[in-house]
Amino acid sequence: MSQAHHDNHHEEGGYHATYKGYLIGFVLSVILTAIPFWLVMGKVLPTPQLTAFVILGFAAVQMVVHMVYFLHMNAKVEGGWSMLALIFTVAVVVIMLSGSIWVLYHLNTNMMPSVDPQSCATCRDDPDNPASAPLHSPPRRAFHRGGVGVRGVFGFGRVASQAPGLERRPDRASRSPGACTRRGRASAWGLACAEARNRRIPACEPAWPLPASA
Amino acid sequence: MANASTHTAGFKSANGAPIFYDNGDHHPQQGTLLGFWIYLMSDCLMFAVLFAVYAVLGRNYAAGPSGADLFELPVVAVNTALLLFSSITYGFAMIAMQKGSKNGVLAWLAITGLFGLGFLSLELTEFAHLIHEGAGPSRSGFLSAFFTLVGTHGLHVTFGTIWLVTLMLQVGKLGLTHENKRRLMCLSMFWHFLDLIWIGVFTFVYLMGVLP
Repeated sequence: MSQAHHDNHHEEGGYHATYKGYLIGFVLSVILTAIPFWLVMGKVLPTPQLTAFVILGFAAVQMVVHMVYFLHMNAKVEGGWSMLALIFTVAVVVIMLSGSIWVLYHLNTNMMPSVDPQSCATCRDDPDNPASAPLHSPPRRAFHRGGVGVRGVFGFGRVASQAPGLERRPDRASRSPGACTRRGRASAWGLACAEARNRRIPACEPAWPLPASA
Repeated sequence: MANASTHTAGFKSANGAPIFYDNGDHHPQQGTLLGFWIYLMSDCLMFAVLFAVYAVLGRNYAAGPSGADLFELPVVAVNTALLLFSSITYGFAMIAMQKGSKNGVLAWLAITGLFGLGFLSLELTEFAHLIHEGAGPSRSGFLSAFFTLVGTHGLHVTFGTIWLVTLMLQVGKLGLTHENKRRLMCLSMFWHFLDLIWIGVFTFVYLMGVLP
């Protein structure tokens, strides 16, 4: 009730930071950070999907660790109002993130490219370009690109959809192994690699890397 | 002060003296810290929107480079380490503050600021390199979302560093006053919050970006 009590109450903010608490949080964070980097850089797990789920799990746990040991969050801070605000925020974030990904799952479905593929010289020999298709093949009626939603985002396999009547052609990358071997930074990447690897996009867009004259 | 048994009688006790229901044991704290926490939560919502944008656009490469082509994970790991170290050094500054050690606070704040500057310089170097290679924000939806999300986080770290230098000057001049302690605690929350957001960035953007 005294002034001293009030000052103490305010300045300590309801918690007492300790070396031990910070060091526990720090060591846990280092472990929870190092393992995901190791999983990704060492390609430890058999599939990228599994890796994605595991590292997301590690991120969630590490966020809780930061909340507890660095932000000193518990149900008593500010008489529980901080926790209430946090719970509300987490709920909104979950709804917004899952809702956005869900709703925009078919973002690119049935989208037509704005570039006329016949007029584009750079993509004549692209396997995905109708202009390069053999004459006896039925013409593609649309660039039906695969959905970019959850599957694309989380790497559950890129959806290489195709027009009916055409067999799926192999990637350039798979046809010429080694063509996409990374040589230093991205500037060393050739047109073929970027197109083959990132071929969910119509091939007539400017090639990567941009020509020097551009 | 009236005793507990008279509290139920009404606003005045039998002898006419007013009754105060707040006996001082529990009362609302000064609102700054709660208010700042709510600001952080709204900031969190803003980052969630940017993460959602990246989730939707993150694989729209427009035949341009992908994350696997661009991201250098060792650099990201160093950045993560810098931010994590800055978090714990800020924690040590808070402990020094509790002990009333002004010089300790200033020293740990300076170390924290250096880690923050190291993080910023690495990130700016990365951005400059990407833009120089033609992988700027206008290259593809993926890169627009990437620069917006990571750039917003970097902007927060920038302002946090400015705030930190300001507080060092305040503490240096005025000492560990009541107000300065409050400000230090607000910045503490801000700084740790940025580290928390970075967990999402390095996991969702960088690590998952290089997965095939």
